[in-house]
Amino acid sequence: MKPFPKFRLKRSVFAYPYVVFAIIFLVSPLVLVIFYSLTREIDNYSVNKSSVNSPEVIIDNLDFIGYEEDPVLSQVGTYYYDGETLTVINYRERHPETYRIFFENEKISLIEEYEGDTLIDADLKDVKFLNRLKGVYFTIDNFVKFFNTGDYMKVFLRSLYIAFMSTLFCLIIGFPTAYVLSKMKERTRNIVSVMFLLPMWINFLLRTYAWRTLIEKTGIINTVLESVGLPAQNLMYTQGAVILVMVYDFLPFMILPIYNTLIKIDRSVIEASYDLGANHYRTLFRVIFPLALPGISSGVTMTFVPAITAFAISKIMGGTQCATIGETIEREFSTDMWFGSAMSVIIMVLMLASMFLIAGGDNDGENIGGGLL
Amino acid sequence: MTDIIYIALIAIPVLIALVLVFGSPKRKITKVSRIIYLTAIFVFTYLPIFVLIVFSFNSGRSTGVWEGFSLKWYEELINDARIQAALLTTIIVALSSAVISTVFGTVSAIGIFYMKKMPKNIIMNITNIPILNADIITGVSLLLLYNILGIDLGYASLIIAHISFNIPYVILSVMPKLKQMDNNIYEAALDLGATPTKALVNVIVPQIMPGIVSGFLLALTMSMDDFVISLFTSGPVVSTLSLEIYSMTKRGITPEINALSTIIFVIVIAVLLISNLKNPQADKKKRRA
Repeated sequence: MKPFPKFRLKRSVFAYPYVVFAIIFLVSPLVLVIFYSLTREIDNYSVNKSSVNSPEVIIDNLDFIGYEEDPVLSQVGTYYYDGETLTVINYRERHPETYRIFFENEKISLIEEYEGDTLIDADLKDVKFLNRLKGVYFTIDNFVKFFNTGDYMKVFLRSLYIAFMSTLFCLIIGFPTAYVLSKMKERTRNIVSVMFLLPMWINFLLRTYAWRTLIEKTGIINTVLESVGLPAQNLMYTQGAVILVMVYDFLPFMILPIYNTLIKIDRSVIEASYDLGANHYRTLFRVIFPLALPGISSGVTMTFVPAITAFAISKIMGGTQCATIGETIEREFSTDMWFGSAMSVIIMVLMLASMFLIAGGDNDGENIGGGLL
Repeated sequence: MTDIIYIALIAIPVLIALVLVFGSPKRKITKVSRIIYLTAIFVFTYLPIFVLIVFSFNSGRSTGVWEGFSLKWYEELINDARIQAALLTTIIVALSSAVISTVFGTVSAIGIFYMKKMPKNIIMNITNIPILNADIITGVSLLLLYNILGIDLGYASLIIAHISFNIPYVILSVMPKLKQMDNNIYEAALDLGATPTKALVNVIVPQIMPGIVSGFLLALTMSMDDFVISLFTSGPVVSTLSLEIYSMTKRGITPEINALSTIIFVIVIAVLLISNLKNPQADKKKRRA
């Protein structure tokens, strides 16, 4: 018999490209967010104002050809240059704003709309690559601004409340559903669980919008109520509407992990419980429920995390009165990345904390996301 | 005040249902209430979709006021270049990112599986990041990365972003299959003279195939449905269906987009039914094994 071959390709080599990929695209973005949250841009405004000779000259000097290709610029919006003034239109918000702009001829131009003068040329050379981080300093101002401004705190607490309520309702509705599903015959329950996944193939914005047509003032539910003789309800643009749609959108994320843990429970454990004299309810609460806890915890995370940062739902269902922290992050990010990053970091810390609370500290890194699969 | 009405509206029937649904399976009322409960959940799940499909046949512009039956919006859909372009972008991005992340993810999962415990744990924790993290944070953080690296926002940035949140799903669905795999078969293949590469392709890959397929489908679904990450990483020129719909929600949605989702929905159901017709054989195979 030949000796076992000693030389063999180390199979873990296959993972190395992924390790590089993960460091670049999964880890470093988060590090960047943390970095941005702790820095602010040095205000060149006053320094460079003196270097401006006359606005007209600078406008002539600017090279407008390359701006559409510029990543920073193109994320901001569209530009109109009528020969005298440069107006920046934010393409997400559709209203004119002022922005800091990078130009392609390796030169930063600071553009602000203020009385009379339109452009201030900061003229920093060699703006390439990492040099974009040159003009920043470390500070905790971003966080101070968040916690000191009442409006932001109000929005934050409101999002927490909405996310908490949606998760709670998802759990109350989802656990029995998963339980009933798990008690069905194998063939039936496979079909039924697919039926829960089917709606996810319709774009979630459309499903959200469909709820809007249902509960609008002139919507279907109100039409039905009125035809029966009941008064029409004002359901749109309330927190309740936002919670309702969140429960609707995130319910599958609660049902599936719980269902997956419930069907994996060993039947003999349940039989043993009956044999040892426990009745139906005792078995349910002392055996099945504790065994389903991993599924519940991953279901709660999979619901709570998207619920706290969802912004499209609150925008469509809640209007301006129900703005959530996700909406605020999105809005702030287009004008003040540093502050937007700080808010993102706060959300991340909150989520990590809640995950540790839910997982009870025994997180071995493989259970949480896997529950859904 | 409206909150209280909502809570009461939802909580009271649910509480009654809880008591009934969790009752002893021997009682008849339990069975009946379970069926009723499940039906109620299905009504809740499918009501908006039913409304959406019905109003795709509306002859008026509204998605909420019925004015009569017509196929007008389906015709409009055929002529709408904007939506077709968005649909094409969505399909290109979803397919390419799903294929790339399935291949890349499967290879990586095999590699990770054979890693030592310590680095394996670290990399699996990193893999969980995009799944656990909120979409909006993944989106803005990728945007910051693109800014720093000077990557233009467009197709490339969008596909890279989709790959980065799809790969974890592939890895997490392939990993369990690798754990279930019988390692002796691989060793036997080597003993019988197969090269490691051959053994990998002919022995390991077939065994983890179900995981690869479900990972691919999951990646495809996630990519098709994604809105938030695309919003931050697509730039102004490239627009996916989700982004197109989002900008429509501000202007008001026409039944045209309902028509499109009805078509997609019907296609998905058809595909599911066809694959289900083949399923009985697969079931038999499973039982024999």
